[in-house]
Amino acid sequence: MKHLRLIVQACFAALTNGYARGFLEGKIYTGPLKQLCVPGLNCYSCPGAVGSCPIGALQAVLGSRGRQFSFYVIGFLVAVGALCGRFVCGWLCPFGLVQELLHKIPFPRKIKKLPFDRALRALKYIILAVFVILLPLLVVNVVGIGDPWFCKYICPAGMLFGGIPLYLLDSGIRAAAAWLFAWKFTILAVVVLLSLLVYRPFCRYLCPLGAIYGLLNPIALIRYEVDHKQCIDCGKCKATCPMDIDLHKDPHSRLCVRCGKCKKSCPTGAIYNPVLAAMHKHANHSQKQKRRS
Amino acid sequence: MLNNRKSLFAPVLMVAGLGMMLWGYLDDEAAIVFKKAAIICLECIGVG
Repeated sequence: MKHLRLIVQACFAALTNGYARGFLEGKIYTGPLKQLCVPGLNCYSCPGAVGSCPIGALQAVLGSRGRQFSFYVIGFLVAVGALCGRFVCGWLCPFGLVQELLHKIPFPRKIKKLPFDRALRALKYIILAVFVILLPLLVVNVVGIGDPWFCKYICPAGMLFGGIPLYLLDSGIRAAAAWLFAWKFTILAVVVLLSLLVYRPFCRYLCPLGAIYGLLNPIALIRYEVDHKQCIDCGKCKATCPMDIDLHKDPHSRLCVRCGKCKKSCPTGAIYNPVLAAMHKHANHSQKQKRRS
Repeated sequence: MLNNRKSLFAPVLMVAGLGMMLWGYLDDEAAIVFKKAAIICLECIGVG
C-alpha cells in the first residue's frame, strides 16, 4: 500500500491525541488512561492526549520524593525498545510525523546532515543524561520534588502540542506566558526551520527518547540485517536513506527509524528483517511437510 | 528465529521490561505518572 507509513503515523497520532473535547474546551484529559505511557514523544499536556509521554513520566517519577529509579517507565522503554527500537520514531511518534511533513515542503536546499554532525548526534545522549535523569533527580525544591527539566526548558513537542493550543484556548495561560514560553517557542521555531532543511533534525540530534530506543536498535525484533552474499555494494541504500545511514556497512545504526526506504531500493533484496525471514522460512517448511504428507 | 543468538536478547528484554513495569505499577509509580499527567503541566507548556 502506498504511503502506508504515513497513514499509520497519522492514525496513531489521532488515536493518542483523540480527546477532541480537550481542544473544544481548552482542558486536558484526566481519565485513567493517563497512567499509561504512549511509545512516542507526546506531551501529556496536549489537550487531546489520552496517554502519558514516557520522557515526561520518567522525569515525574525521578523528580518525586523518595524515588531514585522508575521501574514502571524504564520497564516500558526497555520492552518497547527491545520489540521495535526506533520503529516507534519512524511509524508512531507524532513529532516525527510533523518533522517529516515539514521536510516535504520545497526549500531551495535540502541537506542530509548539519555540519559537525557527529558531535551534534552526541547531544541527545547528553540531554538524556543531564536534563531527563540527573537534574530532576538531584535538583529538588524544599519539599524534595524535582522539575521536569527537559519538558520545561527544551521539549518542542510539548510546546507544539500542549503550549500553543492551550495558549490559544485558555486566557489564564495566555496571561501567564512569559520568558519561558518565548524561549520554548524559539526552540520550536528553530526545529521547524531546520526540518525544512534537514530530515528529522530533532530525532537526529536532540530527542532523548530516540536516544533510548536507538540503543536497543541493534537487538530489537524489528530491525534490518544485510545478506552480504546478495549485496552488490551498489550504494542505493545509502543514497535512498533519509537519515544518511550506510546500511550495508552499518545495518544496526542507532539513527535508523525503520522507514523501509533502503529495503525498497535494494535491487537484490539483500536487506531483510531476520525475525520475519525466519517466520517465512518456518511457514514454507511447514507447507512443504504438509504437501509431502 | 531463535537460531540467531542476537534475536534471543529481545524477547528476554521484553519480558524483563514487562516485569519491571508490573513491579513499578505495584509500587504505585503509575499513580505518580497519573498525578503528573492529569493536571496541566505548566512547565511543559512554557508557563511554569
